Formats: sequence, structure tokens, C-alpha cells
Amino acid sequence: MQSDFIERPIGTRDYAGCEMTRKRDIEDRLIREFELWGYQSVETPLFEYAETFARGLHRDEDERLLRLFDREGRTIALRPEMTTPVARVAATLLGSETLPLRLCYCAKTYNGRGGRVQGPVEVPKAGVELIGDSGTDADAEIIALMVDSLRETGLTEFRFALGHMGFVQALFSVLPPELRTRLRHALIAKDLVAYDAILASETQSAPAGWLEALRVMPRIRGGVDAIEQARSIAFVEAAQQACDEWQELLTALSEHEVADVVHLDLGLCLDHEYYTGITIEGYADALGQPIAYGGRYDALLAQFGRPAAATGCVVHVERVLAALDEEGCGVPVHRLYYSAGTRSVALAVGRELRLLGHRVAVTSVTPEQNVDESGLVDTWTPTDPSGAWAFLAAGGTVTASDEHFAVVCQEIVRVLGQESDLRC
Amino acid sequence: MLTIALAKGRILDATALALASAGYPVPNDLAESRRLILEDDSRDVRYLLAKPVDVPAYVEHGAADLGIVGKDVLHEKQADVHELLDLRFGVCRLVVAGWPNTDVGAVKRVATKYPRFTTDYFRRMGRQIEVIDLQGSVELAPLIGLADCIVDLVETGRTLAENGLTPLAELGTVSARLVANRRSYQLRATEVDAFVEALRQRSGGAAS
Repeated sequence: MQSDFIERPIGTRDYAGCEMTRKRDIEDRLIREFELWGYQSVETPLFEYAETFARGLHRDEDERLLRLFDREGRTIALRPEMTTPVARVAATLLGSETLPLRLCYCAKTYNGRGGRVQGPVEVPKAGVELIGDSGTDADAEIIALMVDSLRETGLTEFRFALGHMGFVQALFSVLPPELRTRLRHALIAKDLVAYDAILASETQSAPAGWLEALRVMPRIRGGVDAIEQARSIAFVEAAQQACDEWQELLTALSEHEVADVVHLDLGLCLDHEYYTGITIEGYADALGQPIAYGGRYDALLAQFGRPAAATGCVVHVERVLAALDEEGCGVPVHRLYYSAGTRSVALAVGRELRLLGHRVAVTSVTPEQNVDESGLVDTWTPTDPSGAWAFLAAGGTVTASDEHFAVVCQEIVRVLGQESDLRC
Repeated sequence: MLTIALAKGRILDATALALASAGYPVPNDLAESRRLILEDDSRDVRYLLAKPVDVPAYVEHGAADLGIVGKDVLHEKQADVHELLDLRFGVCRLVVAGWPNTDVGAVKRVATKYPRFTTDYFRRMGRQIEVIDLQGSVELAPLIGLADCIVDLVETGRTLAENGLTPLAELGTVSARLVANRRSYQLRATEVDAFVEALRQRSGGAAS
């Protein structure tokens, strides 16, 4: 019989060693950068009532929700994303705080495996939400903050594509609702062949010029030139407004000095029902899959009783980890051994080294452990035979109040290698 | 440099022809060659020769920027890629086939290489059927009673006929598609768009 207890559920993973250090480092850097921009960290429960999430879910996310029952028999679910819980917090716990609210988080989210999804079930994400500001300056801030945060993790080659749900909806507005849904699903699936086929079969639904505009729309990508192209097919007021917003956004982004890492993609359609305005998606050159996504969701907060405009973005921590070059994890851990009688010295040395920022594990030498009698194994090269280590190795002892103590610690720090085994 | 994953097998010859007429000639011995990577320095492209079912994965994960593969495989794999162009070659019918007197509305077990197409088709008929997922020689299944019928691609219908089977219903037609990786579509837009345009003009402005 297979022993399940020793395996992990499919789609989950363990982290340890260098990879864990790098992941933690990325998360720390992202959160630190978010907080530097004035965003407050929030934490929400791992699971909530399923109805809470139902307010923000997209099509197959609902099917993939990992559901459980609480003791009263109510359906609860592991959070599939963080925007909805953060919106709930903004409307309840922080309901009396003045808008705008700047909130950030670093949390694991859960997507059950349904249909084609072969990806991870447990997905660590770090994100920001700016709630209560409807201007494009807020969208620009989110993008600029994201660019800074990704750079802070060490990523250099990446870009953001900017879409606008308002533009897409405005161009679709002339069509019957059922057709809009089909076209939107084709755009979400990024299936331009199906999109064209639908348009080709619906020649009665809109004027020929409008259909042609719909056909070229999702293929337009670029900078300011793309806005000009967008204007040329923006037949309704709402579409012109979206173009104005793109224009304002690009101007603001150049003042943030990040305009060089963004471009427009008119066909960008994210798989979440709640997006209402500018949408963003980030890509790293080193990775085939998007590393970040987000956008404006002006209708979600009202679902929780506090109507407010909002925008945000979330980073896929594991994908950033994968996109970064494999580099060493930097900080070595030193081991400090003690035997009978030297424990107080070892503990004192350990304290001192930690104060200096070194990572030290203090551990007793058991009879089985073959630690070299000279005190140091392998990595130790006594650069100063008369130094502190020789003093210790020769059986000398110090206490924290001893006049030798500071000298001993300084000497140890001076000769600490990448990873040292020291013996007191 | 663009990396383009090509599906070996059924559509490879047509793919080579299409590429050549779009200004991207590939070596003549493509099908016979055992090399898996071919480089064309003059056009700054590199071709990967992959098993058709693997092409969506190469493109989804960004090992290839673009891929040319049949819609049959693409639909089954449901990869997260941009589907940019219907190349209009490698056209095949996807059919339900079985003994001549089989009632398609009453079958219970269906053998196929295309479980997703099959399940969708019968679900639309309001039927839940048992799918037997096979990798090849699907025609064998009804012959030995493993399944009531099959769902498979048909080009000429000869294999079916030689085994006494006949097409009973058509699910649709499939053809070769050009797909793009999500990162490459955004970050290598100029190169990707140029390649798409070259192939689009070649396929007579079809579908894009």
C-alpha cells in the first residue's frame, strides 16, 4: 500500500535551504517596497465563507474553489485570491478609516485542480490595493510601485502590458449581450482565430466598419502610437474616454520614470469579472508565463457595503523566483560547538556574533560527532597563530565579562568563512 | 532570435511548405533528419522539432516563442497560449465512427485520443459517456468490443474502411494553428508580428 502520509497533496510543495532563503528574501523585499510607498500590511484568514469569494470570482475559479464545511455546516473555502478578502477588510474592519486606503499583503492562495489546470494548487502571492481613488494617478502609482518592487527583487528585464476593460466594453456595446460574452471569452482565452470566426459569422450584428474595428482591436499593441490607433476606432464616447485615460496614464508613468517598461495591449482581457477599467499584466523576459496582473475594480467594494473605486496588482512570488537568475543565497550559517564546561563561552560567543548580524547555531558536541580536536573543521585557517582561536583551541576559556572576550569575538568574526564550524 | 516549435508527423510536410512560401525555408530533409533543433541564422530563427502533443507545452512555458500545431492537439491540451492564426492546412475531419448500424445517441463507451472533444460533443447531446483514452490505433477498440464507437481524425477514411468502420457523425474540422507564448507575444511583439504577417499573407489573409 502506498504511504500517503509521507507525500504531499498534488499541487503543493515544500521549501527548504537556498530556495527557501531566496523565496523569503523576495517576499521581504516586495513587502518592504510596498510599505515604503505607504501601504499597510493586512492579513486575512486562510479560509472564508464561500459566498464571500463568490462576489469576485471568475468562471472556472468557482469550480476550482477548495471548499470545506465548518461545524455549523456552512460552506467555507480556501482563499483563491486576495483582492476580495482585502476589499472585505477595507469595508468592515477599516470601514471607518478615511479613503484612500493603501493596503498590501503577502499570502498563499489556493486553486483546486479543475479541467486543464496542471499548475500549483498553493500559490504564494504578494500584492497591493489602492482603495478609494478613481483617478488614473492611482493606476499609475500601482504600476510604478510594481516596477520598483520587481526591480527591488533583482529582476531587470520585464514589462507591463496595459489594457482597458472600458475600451473593450465600449466597442462591444453595439452588439447583442450573448455575442459580447462569446467575444469576451475568446479574448480571455487569447484565441484570435475563434474571435475572428465569431465576428465573421455575425455580419448582421453591427455596421461593417464597426466589425472591422472589432477585428483589428485585439491586435493593436504599442506605445503612444497604439493610443492613436485606438482613437481611430473609438466610435463611442466611452471608448474615447478610455483613450484619454491611457494618455493620462502614460504621461503620469513618464513622470514616475517607468514609461519605458510599459506598452498598450488593446486586447488584454483578464479572467476576472470584477475588472472595470485599466488592466495590467507583467512579463519577465526569463519566463514564459506572466509574473504579475491586476487592474481597476470599481464595483467590488460596493458588494461589501462600502462603494469605492479601487485598483491593485499582485505578483506571483514563485514565478519571480523562477525568473531570477540562480544565485547563491548569500548568508551563511555558522555552527558553534561546545563540550562539557565550555557551554557558557559558546552561548556568549553566539550572542555576540548574532548582535553583529551573523547567523549562528550553537550546538553541543556529542561523542559520535567527530569534530577535530584543534577546534575547527576544514574551513578554519588560523591566520594568526597567537590569535583568539588559538587561545580557545589551546583550552583557554573566556566569559562575557573577561577582558579577552571582545578580542576573541572580533578574531572569530575576522576569520569567519562562508560557513564555519567553530569549537569552544 | 525566435524559437518556433514545429509538430512532427501529420502536418510537418505542409508546415515546411507554408514556411518556405512565407520566406522561411527549412531544410528539405526535415522529416528524415534526426536533429531536434535546426537553426536558420540568416533569418534569425530556430526550429524545434517536437511531438505534436508536446508543442503546446513548449510554447506555454516559453521554451519556444511560437508553435505550429493542429487544433486537435491544441484543444485537448488547453494550453495557456495566444492562438494567432488559422493556417488552413492539415485540415482533417473529427468524426464519430463505428460499425455501420451504430446509434450514436445510444453509445455508452467511446474510445479516443481526444477525450475533451469527445466529452464536450456528447455533453452537448445531453449524454454522459465513458471515455476510453487511447494513444493510437483507436480503430481497434470497436473491433474487439472495448468501445461502442470511436472519435478520431479522418483524412481519407481509408483506415476506417479497411477495418469495416464508417463515419457516423462529424464533430468538426481541425487545421494547423500558429500559437504564441504569452511573454513572447508581449516582449518580442515586433518579431512575432512580422512572422505572423508573413504567414498570414501566405495563407491568403485567412482568418486574421
